[in-house]
Amino acid sequence: MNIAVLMKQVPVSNDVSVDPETHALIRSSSEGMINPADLNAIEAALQLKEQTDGKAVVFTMGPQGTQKALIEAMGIGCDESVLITDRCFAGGDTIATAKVLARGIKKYGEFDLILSGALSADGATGQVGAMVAEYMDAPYVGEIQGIKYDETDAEHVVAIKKYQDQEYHIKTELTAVMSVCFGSNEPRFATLRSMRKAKTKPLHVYTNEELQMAAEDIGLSGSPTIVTDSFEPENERRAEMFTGTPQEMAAKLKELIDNEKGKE
Amino acid sequence: MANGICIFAEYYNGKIEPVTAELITAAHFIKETTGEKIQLIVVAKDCDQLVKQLEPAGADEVYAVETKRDCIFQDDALSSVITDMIRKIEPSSVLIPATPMGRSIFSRVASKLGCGLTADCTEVLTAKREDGTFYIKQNKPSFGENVFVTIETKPGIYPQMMTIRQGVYTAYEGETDAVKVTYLENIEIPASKLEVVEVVPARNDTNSILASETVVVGGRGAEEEEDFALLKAFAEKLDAAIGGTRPLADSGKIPFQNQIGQTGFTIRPRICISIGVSGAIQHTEGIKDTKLFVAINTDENAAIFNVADYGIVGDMKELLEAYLS
Amino acid sequence: MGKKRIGIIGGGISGTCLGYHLSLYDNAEVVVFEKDTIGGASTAKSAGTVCLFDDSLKNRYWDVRLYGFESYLKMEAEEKGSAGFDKTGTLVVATDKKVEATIKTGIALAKAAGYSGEYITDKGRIKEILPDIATDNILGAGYTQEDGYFDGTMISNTYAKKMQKNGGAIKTGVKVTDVKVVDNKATGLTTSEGEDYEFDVIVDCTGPWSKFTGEMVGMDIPIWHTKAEAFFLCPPGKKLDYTFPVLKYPAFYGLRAGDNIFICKSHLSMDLNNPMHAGQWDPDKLPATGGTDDYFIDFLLDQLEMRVPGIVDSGLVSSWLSYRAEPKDFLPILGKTPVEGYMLATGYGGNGVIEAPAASRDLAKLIMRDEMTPLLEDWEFNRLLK
Repeated sequence: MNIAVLMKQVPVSNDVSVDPETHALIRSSSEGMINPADLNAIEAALQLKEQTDGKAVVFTMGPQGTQKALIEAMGIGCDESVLITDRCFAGGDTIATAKVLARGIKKYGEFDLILSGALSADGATGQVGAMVAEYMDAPYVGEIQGIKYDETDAEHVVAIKKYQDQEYHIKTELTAVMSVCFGSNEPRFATLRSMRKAKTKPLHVYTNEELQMAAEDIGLSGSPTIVTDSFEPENERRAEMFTGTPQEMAAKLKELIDNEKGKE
Repeated sequence: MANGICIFAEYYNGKIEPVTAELITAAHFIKETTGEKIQLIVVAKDCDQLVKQLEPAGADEVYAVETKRDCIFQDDALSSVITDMIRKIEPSSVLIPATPMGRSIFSRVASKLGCGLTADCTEVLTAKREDGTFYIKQNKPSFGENVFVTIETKPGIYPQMMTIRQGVYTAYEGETDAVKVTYLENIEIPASKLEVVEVVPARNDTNSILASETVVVGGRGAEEEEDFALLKAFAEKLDAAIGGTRPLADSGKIPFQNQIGQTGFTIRPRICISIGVSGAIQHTEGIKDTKLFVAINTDENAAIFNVADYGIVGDMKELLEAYLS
Repeated sequence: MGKKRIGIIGGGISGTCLGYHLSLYDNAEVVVFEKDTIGGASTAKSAGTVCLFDDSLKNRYWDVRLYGFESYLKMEAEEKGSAGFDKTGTLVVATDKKVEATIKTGIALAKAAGYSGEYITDKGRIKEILPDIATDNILGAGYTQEDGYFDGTMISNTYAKKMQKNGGAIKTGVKVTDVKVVDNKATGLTTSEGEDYEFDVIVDCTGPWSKFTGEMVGMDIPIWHTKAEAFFLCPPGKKLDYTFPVLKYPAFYGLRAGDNIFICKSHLSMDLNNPMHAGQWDPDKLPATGGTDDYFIDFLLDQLEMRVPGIVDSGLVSSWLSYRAEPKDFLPILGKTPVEGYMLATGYGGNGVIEAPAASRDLAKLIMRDEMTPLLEDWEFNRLLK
């Protein structure tokens, strides 16, 4: 089974502030890392790849420099990687991003499964995977816990999805797109040796010269939505303190926890 | 001309989800300015009783499509039906709960319509352009909750589509005027490449502090036998994994693999309750991306209160005993 | 006579430890200014090893090492966990004759102070202590069970608490934005909260930030940054079946971190003329994790293959980068500066946790009694002006 993994490099720190005059974002550090849930997607891909004797190719869209994260993904075990990078792709919203990713995947070749992490640590939209599925006309299962593969039925896999205290097993035709939840498996680590080896694995670079996308489909002009402002939250970064008797505080604590648990 | 504030009425097991009422409140705020109708859409096999639930909810119109089969998680088919509905209704905006179901179905709908989808809004504000048309400023958090951005759908693109976070608007409790119910008969649900083959009760993995959605973290302040026993009972009640800072691992109360801070591991639970953790940087760097972080500590100056969402200054014993009873 | 007012800039190990030692004097009035959290920056990234013998600090400063070690042992005895002591023992590996001689002297000094320690040449015994080690190219190893590593952040917080108990004040989340100098004398400072303070003595304890701190009084502090690059390794099999000791080689060191192993390049192997190792950077831009250079992977792979092959296939859990503040002779800068009333307790390099107690003890003496000590003479600012 050949599997594409969509990976996003996210900032190590979400410590971002806003310039009060220009409203531009100020980042304390430019250091990036592989989005945490994407490591779970990579792990799910590697397990399936080993079970079915296929390959795992990791894709990312980002500026030059994102190679570091791709090499890390290959150090963890992905066979090849693709960096989709071009100035004209920058500034895209989820729609424009998904279009480019879908085109990049098609350009590379056929895949049985396309996996991503469920939510990114920075933007956390959880949309790009489903949009890629739409542009590839493939079924999509979002926010799954695991994938079951039975070799007697090579046309399908079963996605395991937790929803409202139930575990749904969803049989899916291939090619399918899925997003994998953080914590759903135990990602393996790269080692010093595998990191050195990763530097020699194939790293393809696609610019728009390769993808040949129309200007109205990509970047800012390909985005139906635009960011018009940014601002810092009003409340300070300090905990809101409870008051009252232990009984009252315990009741409030319970309410907060129950409320958060009730959300899906 | 696009007109109307459309809301996706999410349901599960035959019940309309409470978040729908929250979105109706958000829609009424928009309606105050634009005067548009509030429209609910629902797609289901047993549609009638869901429509019944929606009639008194506070909307002006309900649009329904009855499907021949149960189509839960069949996003490919559902998104096709909903796209057809929106094309017929032609709303100027669509409000969707920021739930797994909402974002998964409507990502596809947005792609089909080419209209974009703003994720996880915590505030929607109505504003007026120079040409007199209204638009919605969609405010959403980014980089954790450290900054907020305003997103707008470009002029001329409709509907403006956004998911709205649960719990930011209170449920609508106002009066309902006469509500008009329309069954859209000509919309067929296409075949799906997805099929639910089994449903079993889910279990939360409380053995792993990395996998568990809820984690209770104990620090030096929870080191005494009696305190730790209480913490354990509390974690059990919450169906939570137990993590701890080094003193708890050193004393053997938790296994080393559940130690937080100074091990290189970072946990990302949805809910984190810390008890007796002072908040030295190595511990707080090990806990990230929580949705709810409550810190309990006897020292009101503890650094943990700089990173937690809520703080409780006091004796853990009294508090947890009260909680458990 | 009125109280002597001392303002300390920086709430890491240097500032809190000095604050505590000053607070022991009746007539000291101490305020520590920390722009973030106590012991939360470079101190938090310190390995916290205080070994009875290794090459991190010359044997000539044995007293400094011992005072540091025993200060923390007492702290830990007073309240368990307050110094974060993990008594794993230390194995210092002799790769050549020179290192061997240093270790042997260190062992003799440790024994004289009542601690146990031995120099082992029996390779089988070395392997018993650290089964994953390669013993082919080593002469022997010094070993003691009595030390280990501490937690710099816990220690800083404990010193801060003790200082407050003695009447000292701490301002966290408060940045010093200006130091007032009148007629070449520092007289006070201004904070990010817009408040002005008057002091008789101001001490820069900002370590890697000292370059910027010094600018406020128009002084060029001669420190460089060396990169402390570290990896957390998850050993093959996830868990070792032995206690991983503090392990010291001339080029790197390791210690346990839960079930994982923390490995860091040692600072004495840093070449101040190599831009890959040393330079002058902005510590505010340091990420909390990540940031290590590619060469570090090759460096560590080569080192571990040769030295500790049993853990070379460990998983890379995470990494971090920290800047050490190093004067060119790798020794701290302590005491008076050309600006009257403005003092330094900075440039500890990787050795803040080891050196801060003795350095603070002596500096407090200078500030409160105007008395010099041999240590202050060795580490004074003047030496770097020559």
